[in-house]
Amino acid sequence: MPIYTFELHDGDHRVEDQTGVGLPDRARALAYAHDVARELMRCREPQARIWRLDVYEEGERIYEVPFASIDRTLDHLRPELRATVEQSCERHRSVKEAIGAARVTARESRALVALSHGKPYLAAQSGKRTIRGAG
Amino acid sequence: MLAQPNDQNAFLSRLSVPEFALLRPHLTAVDLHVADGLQRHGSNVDHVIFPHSGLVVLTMPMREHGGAGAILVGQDSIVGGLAAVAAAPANCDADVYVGGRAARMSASAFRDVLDQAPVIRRLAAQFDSALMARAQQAALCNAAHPVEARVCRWLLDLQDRIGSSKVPLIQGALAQMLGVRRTTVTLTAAKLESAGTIKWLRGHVQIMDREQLEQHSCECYGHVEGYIARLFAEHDRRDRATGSRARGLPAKEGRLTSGG
Repeated sequence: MPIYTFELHDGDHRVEDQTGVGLPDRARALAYAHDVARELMRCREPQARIWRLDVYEEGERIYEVPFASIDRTLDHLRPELRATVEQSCERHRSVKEAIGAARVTARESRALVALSHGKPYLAAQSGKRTIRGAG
Repeated sequence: MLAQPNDQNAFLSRLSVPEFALLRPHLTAVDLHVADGLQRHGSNVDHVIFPHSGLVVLTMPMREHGGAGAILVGQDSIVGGLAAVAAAPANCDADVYVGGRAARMSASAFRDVLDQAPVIRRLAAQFDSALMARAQQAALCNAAHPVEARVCRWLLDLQDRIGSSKVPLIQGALAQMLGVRRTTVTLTAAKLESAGTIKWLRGHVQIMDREQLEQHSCECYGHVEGYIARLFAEHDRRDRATGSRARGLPAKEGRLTSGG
C-alpha cells in the first residue's frame, strides 16, 4: 500500500507529516487530505481558508488542496464570486510567504555582514539555522 | 496488602472517619496498568474505582477512529460511580491512560453504602456533577473550538494532572481523544513546535512555553476548573459550618485494604 505524506502551508510556516499514511490509492489519499484540511480549518474558516495542504507520493507532489476550495462556509456564494474568493485566498497566502521569505533574506544578510566583520551572528528560522556553513 | 500510595483519591479523602469506615471493608487495592479497559459502553458496571494516581480516559466509542469526546479522570474523581448508583450500564468506555494505583469496590456494595449514608450520597452527586461539567465542557469545546486550541487545552490539562512539563502522549492517542485524524494532530503539533511552544519527542511531549500554550488554548479548561473549585469550596464551607468535615486521613494511615 503506498504511503502518502502531507505538507501544510499557512503563509507563516511550512510543516510536514513525514510519517504519512498508507492508503490504497490516490483517490483515497485526496479524500483523506480533504478530511484533514476540514479538521484543521473547522471553527476558524476566515483565518484558515488561505492555507493549502499538499499531498506527496514517494516524494512527488500529486495534489494541492487549497482550503478555500473545500470551505463549506463559502458554499452559499455564486460560483463566480466563490472563484474570486479562492483566488484572493491564494494571493493572500503567496503575499504572506513572500513577506516571510523577505524577512529571512534580510536576517541572513545581516548575519553575513556581521560574519564579514568577524562578529558572531546566527540566522535561524523555527529553530533551524538558515545560512549553511556559517558560524 | 499492596504498598500504600503517596496520594489519596479526592472522594475518599473527603469522607469523615465514620463515613470512610462504611466503605473500608469493601475496598481492595488494585494497580492500574496502561491500556487496561475498566468498563465498556453498554456493559454492566461491576466496580467503582477510586484512582489514587494515574489517569483514566473516558471515551464514547465510534464505528471508525476508535472513539472521541474524551475526558480525563485522575485522583480527582471516581470511575463508574454514576452507573453504580443508578444500577445502569456504563455510559462510556474507560481505559487506563497513565498507570497508577487505585482502590476498588463492587458497584452493589457502593450502592448499599450510599443508601445507608445520605452524606456520602450527596458527595457522590457532587463528584458526578463535576464529571458532568467536564463532559458538557468537552462537548462544547469539540463543537465550537478549532483543533489547535483543543490540542493546547489537552496538553495543559495533562500537564496539570501529571504535574510535569514532560507529558506522556503519542499523536495517535491524542487524535483518538480529539476525534480527528492523526495527520491533523501531527501538523498542528508541528506548527506549535515551530513556534517553540512544545517539543514532541518519542512517546512524550515536552512543554517548552506554558504561557504560549495558554494563549493558544481555548477558555474551556479555565471554565470547568473554576466551576469544580467553586463546587467543592461550597461543600467544604458547609462541612466546616457543621463540623463534619473529613479529617483527611493522612496518607500513611492505610486507606487501602487487600479485600476487606
